[in-house]
Amino acid sequence: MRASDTWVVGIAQAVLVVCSLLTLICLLMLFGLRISRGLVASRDRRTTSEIRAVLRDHLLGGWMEEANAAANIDRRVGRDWESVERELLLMVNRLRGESLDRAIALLQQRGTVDRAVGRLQAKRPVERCRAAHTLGVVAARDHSDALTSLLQDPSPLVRRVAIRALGALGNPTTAPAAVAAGRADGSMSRDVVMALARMGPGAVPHLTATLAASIATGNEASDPLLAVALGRIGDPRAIDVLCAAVASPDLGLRIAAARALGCLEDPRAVPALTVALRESHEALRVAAAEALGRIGAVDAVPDLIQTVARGDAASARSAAEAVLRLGPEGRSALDASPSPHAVEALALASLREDR
Amino acid sequence: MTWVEFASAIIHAVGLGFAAYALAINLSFVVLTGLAVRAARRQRLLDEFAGFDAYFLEPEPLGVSILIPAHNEETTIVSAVQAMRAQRYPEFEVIVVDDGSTDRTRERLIETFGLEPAPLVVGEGLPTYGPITGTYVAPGGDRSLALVTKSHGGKADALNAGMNVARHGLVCLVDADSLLDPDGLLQAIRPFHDDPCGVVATVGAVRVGTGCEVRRGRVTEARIPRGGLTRIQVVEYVRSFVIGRAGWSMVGGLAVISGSFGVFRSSVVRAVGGMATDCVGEDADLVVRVHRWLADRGDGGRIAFVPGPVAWTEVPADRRTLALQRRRWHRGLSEVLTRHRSMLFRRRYGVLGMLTLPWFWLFELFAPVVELLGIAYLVVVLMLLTLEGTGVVPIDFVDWSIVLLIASAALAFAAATTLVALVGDEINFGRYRSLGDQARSVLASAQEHLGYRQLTAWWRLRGLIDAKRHAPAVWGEMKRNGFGDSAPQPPVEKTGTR
Repeated sequence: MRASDTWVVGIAQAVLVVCSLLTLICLLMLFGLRISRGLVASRDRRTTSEIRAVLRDHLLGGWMEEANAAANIDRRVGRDWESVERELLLMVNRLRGESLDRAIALLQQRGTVDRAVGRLQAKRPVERCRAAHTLGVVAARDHSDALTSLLQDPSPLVRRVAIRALGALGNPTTAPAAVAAGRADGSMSRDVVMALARMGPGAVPHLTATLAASIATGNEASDPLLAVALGRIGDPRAIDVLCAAVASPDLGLRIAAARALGCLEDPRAVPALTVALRESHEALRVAAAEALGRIGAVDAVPDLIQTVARGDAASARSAAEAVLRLGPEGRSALDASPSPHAVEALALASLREDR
Repeated sequence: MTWVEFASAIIHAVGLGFAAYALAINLSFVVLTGLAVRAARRQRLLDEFAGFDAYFLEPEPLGVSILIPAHNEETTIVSAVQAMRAQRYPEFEVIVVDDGSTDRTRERLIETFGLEPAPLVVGEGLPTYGPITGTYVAPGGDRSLALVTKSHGGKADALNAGMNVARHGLVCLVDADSLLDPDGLLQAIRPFHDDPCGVVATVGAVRVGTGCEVRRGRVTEARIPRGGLTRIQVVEYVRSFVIGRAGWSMVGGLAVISGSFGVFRSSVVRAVGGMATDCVGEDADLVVRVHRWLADRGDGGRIAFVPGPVAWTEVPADRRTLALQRRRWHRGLSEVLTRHRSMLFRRRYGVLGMLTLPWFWLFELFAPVVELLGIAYLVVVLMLLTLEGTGVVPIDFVDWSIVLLIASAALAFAAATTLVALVGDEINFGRYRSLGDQARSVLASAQEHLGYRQLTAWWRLRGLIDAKRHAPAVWGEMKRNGFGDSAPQPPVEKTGTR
């Protein structure tokens, strides 16, 4: 055997040994994981169904005294509180009214909120996520500040869960922090919009002031989320600033503002949207056409018909659908249009009516 | 050095070269498995705390047009459309493009869903070759389901026609022989919402649906089929289409999105010119062109892999169909890699140019050549061994014990790599629930390397030759048995050329 063969044989033997061990470990893991998962799943199914039954009794039937509800649940289920808490947190989102109050009272009685607050500073991001999630689920409004501070967390997931939790609390005083978080991290914009929308009309003054200031200073590039949130809230106080936003230089903001004006369904927005309909960008024209359709702007029929005839496919289709929503006047205008998009919209409308 | 010593050293060195190749390819799969496990862990956390049910409250849900190109798919098309229509997502339409089927694909769709003719506008954004012959919508002018019939022009042409009819900003490309998980669309769209400026395309995992329990277009119980050929394809898909892609996605180098399940921004697809009709691997080509387009523009953008949702696809159950499929796939890969060879080792194309494409050239495109040369090498070595002592070949010309050791190590590593991928899949997803299924997957991971791999290497080599000769792309006969969901029907021979 040559000298070079010695190390080749050594490596090949090592690979064989490692592969044999790896194969053995893989086989053990494959079957072990499957068996253990099966056992855990069947145990969890049993436990969960027991816990759910008891919780349903308590939340819907109210057969227990509030004071000793948790103790009674422990006694009946015979499990640690952690399992009950996990199930309860899953159920809370689907509860309303008295049942929801009972569930939250039960969680507070057993110190769930205090434990969650304690875990907000935990080392592991998963723990911090879980804590923020819990505070959101139980709508612990007293802890808005703690959640707001989590918006600076180094973990993107923690920040995201925190903004969702703030939305669940619905406290409009946290709107500035939410807006700042959305501006700092574009990937959170969707969660920020949802959170702001849940804060409701209370957040509108801050949102309109911030958006107006951005437009005035030409710093509106990161603000489409404000327009989306304002549209989602649907407060008429936002009309003026949204109309100004439709005319701003930033395309993203213009599109978002046009859609938001459609959500508001206020006729005061028609002039601004009609101007937007004549712009060159396809997405803006689509948004403006859809908004005009939602508002029911009969005055805009000539502009919409022009878009049906000359616009690109997407805006022509949106404009045709918008015109159709305007009732008999829109329909007769479409009848007179030779555009294939008008023909398509009328044909689909006719099929709908036949049905 | 005598010529005998020289020849012996050459044989020795070639053997080591094959061993090093096997070591590198399998090691890369182990690394990809590790990355895939990390990706799945990250996804699980996201699912736990940032659940996707909120999309139903989404202020501006991104609309999706699901495009299903179909050519002689009468056995699977109804299940596929049912699965797509059952998707949990607030805003989507399904567009089936019947690409000149000669069977009852069109009639089955019209009868089952009660489609009515409607003059839909077919845009001219993307060029198509087969003229449109009709457009239909669901009853009551409902555009959530549309059928476009056209003359035969190939899958890419059908997809381009579908995109010209699509209304929404996202297009989801799925095969007619695929079933999507009910939350598949919801999860595949999430990255677009999470990173609206960055994500331009997403891809879900593809698994083998053959043998699974299917009810009303949904896979209700994942099973590993008993048939040897289909069983091996299950582990092959797990390694390549589930684990491999998740791993590549983690390093930002996802190169191939299967036609079975991919979502793109329609503006991006239009910007790159739609699907290439002159390429067999149109899906992979589209992805590489999108990567290229993004890098050339220099303003970011990425393609994300979503490991959770699954497109379940029917795989060939007989050797002839499998041979045609693999030949076509490899030909497509060759065309795509050759077409985009200028991206190789170019920093501007990032991980794709520096790592993924070189990897595909080395370990995918050339793999059948190396594997078959390896077999030829073993045959030569065996012949030399039998000739030793006869005077033709001197004694100890070849050290058979070393050759055997190296071959065994390479084989053991390949089998262990597949098992590692199966464990990664079990940790991440645990889709196959019965112990019998696990046993079958273990068996298949061993079987794969004893005959199957060598056969596919031969078919892939023929695909490579087809690409070099620019032979006409022939779809050939594809036997479709369906998913066992619809009323039982005899297998249908699918024929056609593109």
